[in-house]
Amino acid sequence: MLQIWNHFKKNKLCIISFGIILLLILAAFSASLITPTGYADMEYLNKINSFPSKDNWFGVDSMGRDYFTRVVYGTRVSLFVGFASAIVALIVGVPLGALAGYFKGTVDWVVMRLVEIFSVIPSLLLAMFFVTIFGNGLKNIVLIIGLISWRNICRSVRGEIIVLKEKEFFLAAKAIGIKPLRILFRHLLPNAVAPIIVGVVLCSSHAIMIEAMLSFLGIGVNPPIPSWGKMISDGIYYIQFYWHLPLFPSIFLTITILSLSLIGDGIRDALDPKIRGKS
Amino acid sequence: MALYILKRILSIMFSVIIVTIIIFSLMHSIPGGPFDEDKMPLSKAAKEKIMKMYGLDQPLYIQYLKYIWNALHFKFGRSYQSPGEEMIDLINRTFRVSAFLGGLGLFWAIPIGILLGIISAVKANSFIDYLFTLFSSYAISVPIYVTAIFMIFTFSLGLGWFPTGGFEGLKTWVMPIIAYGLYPSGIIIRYTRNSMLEVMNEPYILTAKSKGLPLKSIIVNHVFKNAMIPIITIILPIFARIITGSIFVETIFRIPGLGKYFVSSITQRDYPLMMTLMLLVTFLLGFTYLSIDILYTIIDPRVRLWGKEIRK
Repeated sequence: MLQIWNHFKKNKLCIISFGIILLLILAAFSASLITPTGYADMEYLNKINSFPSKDNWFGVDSMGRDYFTRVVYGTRVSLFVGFASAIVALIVGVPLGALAGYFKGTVDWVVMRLVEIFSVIPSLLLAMFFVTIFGNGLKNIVLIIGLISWRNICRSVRGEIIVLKEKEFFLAAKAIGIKPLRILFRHLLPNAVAPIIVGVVLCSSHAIMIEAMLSFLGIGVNPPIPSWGKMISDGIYYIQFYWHLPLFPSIFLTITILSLSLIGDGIRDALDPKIRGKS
Repeated sequence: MALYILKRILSIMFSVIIVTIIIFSLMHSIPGGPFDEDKMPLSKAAKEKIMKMYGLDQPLYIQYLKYIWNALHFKFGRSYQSPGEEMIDLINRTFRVSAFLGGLGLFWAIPIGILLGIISAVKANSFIDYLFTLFSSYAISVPIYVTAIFMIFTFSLGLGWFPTGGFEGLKTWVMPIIAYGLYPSGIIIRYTRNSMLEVMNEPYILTAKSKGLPLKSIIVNHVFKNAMIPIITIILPIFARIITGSIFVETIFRIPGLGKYFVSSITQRDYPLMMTLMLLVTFLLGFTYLSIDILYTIIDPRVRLWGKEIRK
């Protein structure tokens, strides 16, 4: 464990990303404190589309709303979608993966076919289908993204359980006659926590990306709730004149997604002795 | 070998059928139809007539079987959005554009990705390794349209090298080709690096080193050859990404390709176009699977032997 932590600590990219994500979480929680107006207040109708200034750090959008406020509240939406979808994926993926890895046979076959079907159709297209069927809006988006992205978590939990079943403590638990489900959830799963954490972090980064893509296509979170993807797609029409409209949400989206995926990759590399290298 | 390929083709057909059934049922569970009043104001009689003409009044399973039967004869019907041309012509016209740009994207992404991956692995945990890892994480995780916007800012608005969009000759192709290749290059860098590092920890590399072979020859002859095998398998998700990537790349750079139809076929309830696009995607993926498996048996003798043993 200490070795893993030491390796993780050495990965500077990862540590910086971690700091950035903490800052963004803080900004998301204190959005109402650090922004001058509410996210839907059209307070600056007299200076529509004006460029960044001392009063409006990121300028004003085409509906007279302070753009800094919109971007900061966008952080709240993106991070919420990211983490909430990851939790949905966790609730679906972990039990399915654990059961598949533990019982093998028919259960495993069914779960793996399910995983296969979900990986043949590109996840963005699947998300588009589900959104048009069930409607958009924050709650639906979270559920849909969670339901299309459980397969990676499921696969890694399954693999981990199969490996753990070879270990002595599993045989010992079985020999004393503990019931299978209890062994699975009390003894095997707690040992698979590390890959689950990696899965959740990477999943949240992926979820933010899918949400941004759906919002970009106009089928994501409903206005006036600010979403970076929607802000970018609205702003791109003005790219030659009002550069601040597409630029700021793009930068924030990039930083958020990149940090999350660097953290996930960093933890995974730290866990993998083969890739850790000779250090 | 022939038997093996035949088996693989059959299993691909099976998954194509499953996927078409899923897509067909998803498609028809979208509320609203293609000829509803909000899309075109028709009288009830006219709507009924059109529905009959397109066979939409029949039960779903008959519609499905009819579609598959026609598709087997290469008749894909006509898209509701452009009823003036056969589906084949529509796909042919637009897919050519997307495949051209996407193909050129892969053309730079594969060699560059492998090269940067090798450098990253050889200089593991150095500054240059961090730089390439950062690049590959960026390319993999950040939506492609964000990069497209950054490129428009720097190369079109800032430096004025390329126009912001369109499809009229070399100058307009450069940025879309970069955008198309970005995700593939990122993922190839990551897998090449990890695969190389794994092979470098194998005992036979230690043997080669202790024999006193020069580092260059170890990297080229021993590590790289063995590390390439798993890299082949990642071509698969790349194909899917090129297709979904086209949705965004082509919207932003205003390219007359296939991309926009993925969205419009869903929003317009354009059933025949949607089915045809999904058939195209699953077939492309299926044949990538197949060619990967065949390539595998050619490149890695261990797989070949294993296959023979199974057949006995």
